[in-house]
Amino acid sequence: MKRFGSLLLVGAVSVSLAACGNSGSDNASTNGSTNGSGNSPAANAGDSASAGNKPVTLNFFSNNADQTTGQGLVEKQLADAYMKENPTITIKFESVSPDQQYQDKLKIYNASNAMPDVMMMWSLPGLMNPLIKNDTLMEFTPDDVKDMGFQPAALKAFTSNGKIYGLPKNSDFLVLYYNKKIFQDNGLEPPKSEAELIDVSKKLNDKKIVPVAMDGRDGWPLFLWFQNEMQRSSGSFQTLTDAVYRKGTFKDLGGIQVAAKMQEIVKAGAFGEGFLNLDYGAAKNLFVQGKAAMFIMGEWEMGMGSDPNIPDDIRGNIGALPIPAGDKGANTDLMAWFGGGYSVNAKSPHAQEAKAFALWMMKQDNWAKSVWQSGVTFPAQEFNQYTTDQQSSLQKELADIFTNATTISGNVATDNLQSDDASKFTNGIQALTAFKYTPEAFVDLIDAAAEESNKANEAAK
Amino acid sequence: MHRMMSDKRTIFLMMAPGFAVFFAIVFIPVFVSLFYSFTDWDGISAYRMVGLHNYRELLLHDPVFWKALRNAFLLGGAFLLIQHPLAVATAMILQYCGRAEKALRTILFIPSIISGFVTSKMWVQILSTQFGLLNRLLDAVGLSTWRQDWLGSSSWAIASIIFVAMWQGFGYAFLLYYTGVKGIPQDLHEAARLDGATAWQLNTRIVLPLLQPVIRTSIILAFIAAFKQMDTVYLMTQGGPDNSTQFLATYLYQKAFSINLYGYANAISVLFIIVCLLVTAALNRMGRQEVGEF
Amino acid sequence: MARANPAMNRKSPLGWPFGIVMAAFAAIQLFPLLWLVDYSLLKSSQFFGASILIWPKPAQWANYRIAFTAGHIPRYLTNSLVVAAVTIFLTVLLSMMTAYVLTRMKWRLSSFFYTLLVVGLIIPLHATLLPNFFIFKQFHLLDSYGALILPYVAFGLPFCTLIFCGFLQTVPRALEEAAVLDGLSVPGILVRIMLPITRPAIATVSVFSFLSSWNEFIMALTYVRSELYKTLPFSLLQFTGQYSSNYAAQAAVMTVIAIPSVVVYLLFTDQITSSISHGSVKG
Repeated sequence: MKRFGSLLLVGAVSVSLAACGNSGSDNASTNGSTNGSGNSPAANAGDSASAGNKPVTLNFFSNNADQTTGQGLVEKQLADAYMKENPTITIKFESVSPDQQYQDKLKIYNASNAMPDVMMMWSLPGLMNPLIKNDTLMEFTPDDVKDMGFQPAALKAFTSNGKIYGLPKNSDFLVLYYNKKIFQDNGLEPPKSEAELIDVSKKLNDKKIVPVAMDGRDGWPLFLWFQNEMQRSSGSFQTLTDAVYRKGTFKDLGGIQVAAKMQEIVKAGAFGEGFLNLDYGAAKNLFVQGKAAMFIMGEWEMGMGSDPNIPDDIRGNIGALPIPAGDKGANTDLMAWFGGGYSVNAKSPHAQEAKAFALWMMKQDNWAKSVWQSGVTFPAQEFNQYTTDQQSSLQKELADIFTNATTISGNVATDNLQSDDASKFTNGIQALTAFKYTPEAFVDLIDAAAEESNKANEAAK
Repeated sequence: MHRMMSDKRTIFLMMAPGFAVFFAIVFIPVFVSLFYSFTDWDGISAYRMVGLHNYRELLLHDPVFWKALRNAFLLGGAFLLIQHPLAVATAMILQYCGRAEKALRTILFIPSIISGFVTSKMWVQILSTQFGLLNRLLDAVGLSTWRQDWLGSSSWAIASIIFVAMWQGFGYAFLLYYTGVKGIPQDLHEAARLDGATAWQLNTRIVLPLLQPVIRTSIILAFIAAFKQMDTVYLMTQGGPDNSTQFLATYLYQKAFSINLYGYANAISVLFIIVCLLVTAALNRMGRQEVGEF
Repeated sequence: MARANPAMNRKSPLGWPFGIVMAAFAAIQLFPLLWLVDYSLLKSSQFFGASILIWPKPAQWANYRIAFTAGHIPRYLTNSLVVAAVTIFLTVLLSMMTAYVLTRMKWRLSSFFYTLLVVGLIIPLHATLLPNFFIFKQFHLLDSYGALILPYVAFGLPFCTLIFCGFLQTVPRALEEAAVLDGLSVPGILVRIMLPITRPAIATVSVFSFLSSWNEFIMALTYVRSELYKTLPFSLLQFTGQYSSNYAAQAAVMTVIAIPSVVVYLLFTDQITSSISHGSVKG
């Protein structure tokens, strides 16, 4: 049935395009590998022994367009090293950024059977589950990953029905970056609790400094903040999970107080004016230009501490704080999750070679060591043994927050919301923080969305 | 004359190449869309036929769809009542600018030349609440009470988007009319001048009526552009906050790709096409009554 | 016809206040270009600063060097030029023929096909991405110049045909009647009579199809994956990572994309007036 659409098309346009088709196919066979599985000799699929001496091209689809810095650079360096060790293997990169565009293109490739061999993957059920159902993702056995130092929770994020479908590449967690100089100059202490945050915010606003730069436009940072607030208010990350899986309603589990608290923080001017239309870049820039005292974002921004594009007097003064404690949740309770990783296309004629490469690249001594020592990100593997005195102070402060955490949220339950309902949550939070909804109305909305998602998920099972 | 102008072979040969490309790439996908609009495809896994479910949801239970439609009409209305009258007037006035004419007609088109990526970024910066040029200007002239969260509050955001979209598309509207004004035979100008007509009379009584076909086309184009509005909105607000600046095209894109409701998105695109057809037909009818043949 | 523009000989009926209004208007429209060039010469760290325009001192020409090397501008620029040139040529040719048949020739389905074109104008591009990807894949058109040119022509066609139609309706039929009496065929009329007369429309259509192919991104991103065929907007991608952004190099790339557009527009815009001063429009 699924082919119906394309068959229809093919029939209809074959007359007008027949001529183009002929000339095009020559073209395709010369760079056949770029067209995926369609026209490559499928005979030696999975036969890695015989492929040892045949040249193989692997397509690596990445969300890092810029290969001169960050994870893009690490990917490229490791691929280059692998090609040197294995002269018969060529790794070709295709990068699309930003992430949304990357995911769009991945869907198009999947729909047309043109999937790359190795690809960046997010452990989002909405993205991964359909691919798993389709048998598109290669399975990794526990043996494959046994000595690679992965954190068990990270592997779990990529596990579905007991099988591992991706190699996690980073540990993500939410922190509050702060500008030490602004705090010193104004005689302020970094906030440890929400009450202190509100107090500091009022003082900073009086001095025309934005307290916390918040990317309110994209929705997901607000969403993370909401999830964090659920914990801070109730004292457990489990509360959110319970509400999402309908073991109780948001209303009964204290959702209204959480919403009211969020409004209180916004009202105190913690995010300055107009944060709902600050996107990622704009929010970050408020902070790195010294116009905002704090910046709420994930650990992946630790590169700020060494980014030459940031003015010197700010770069050296960036520190990291845990998200302030709430009524019950402590500031050692950490919102942390495992988002990104790499998956291999099981349907590729070079699936085995691709898998071998992915496993090699993610070896602790390759990936974890490279990203940690170059200060790019927190790997999803043990990394402490790689710390040298080259690491920036910001990196060390972040590592402290991570290792001092007493409880960790793990992958957030809201990942299991249907994407449509997740966007209702996001829009609801925007409306709540714009004071268009009362806390009660907001909680009714998210309860309805969670209920709907739960029903859909049940039906899918 | 008549026989030659209705020769089937010539007609076929001249129409075929264009329509072949057009059908293959623009039209056939619509039928594919129509097909998928009856499914619950998420863009990745297998799908089921769900009949008219998507349409029912859209029309009866989706306030965002109606909001997007309303925004499209608001923008179309703004094009019709503000942008186009200005563009016609500018096209006429430009003839009286002497040496500056050439420079001006280039400059006026510049925002349309530069990619929407650039101009959207620029406007976001100008309209930014705390550090934007506009609010700082208002502060500077003592009108601090007029400061607004231009893109962050629902009501101002849609107004700001309409303004920027009008500004961005002005060059195109202007160019169409300018071409039209320039295409009017000189004899008519000369004859009118000999009859002692003033510039005002010349423009309102001769140029304006002759521009009617161009105006009709341009207005239809403008309405369609309003419905298809995508880049400016996507880059400036992504349809937010809380869907207040959602347009049909952004909503369609969001549903199809970000939210994985490909079937639903196709139902949006089918309805979108139907609404556009109705509007175009209505505009066409209104316009046609005023135009005479040569 | 000695003097081209009748209005030029007249004194402006509105005088200097109107001059000021036009000047202000022009300044507003010119601003984005100025802004862009300014930012392309700053350091990334100066972006989002307090003032909207900052005097670049010293000018950071290195941004352009980075744009050219890391952004692969020479190759992408060549691709963009090839794609734009072929797109313009095909669009003008096809839309002019189609428009002529639709406005001048008498046949039963004329208004039906006209309506189809208008419908085509309406079709949202994003609804066609996935189906077209299937089609192109089936015909091995993915990752080729064709995968860009064909959709650009197809999506430009309705719009450009309508522009020609609108223009042709303002052209008196007397000219062609005389030509037919002189024994010209339909293609003859197109080349000898219509080509010179419709030069303003051709210029307009060329500008439209140039700009739309030059700045187009979403289709290119979908249908092209190898370096060989990538067009200029891909350069921007090199600097717009989600988590780290070299804003200055971004602005430099955008300037490099914008400048040819301005130049091309200047070239074509001359055509718009020159055809009039040549006196080819004489009813």
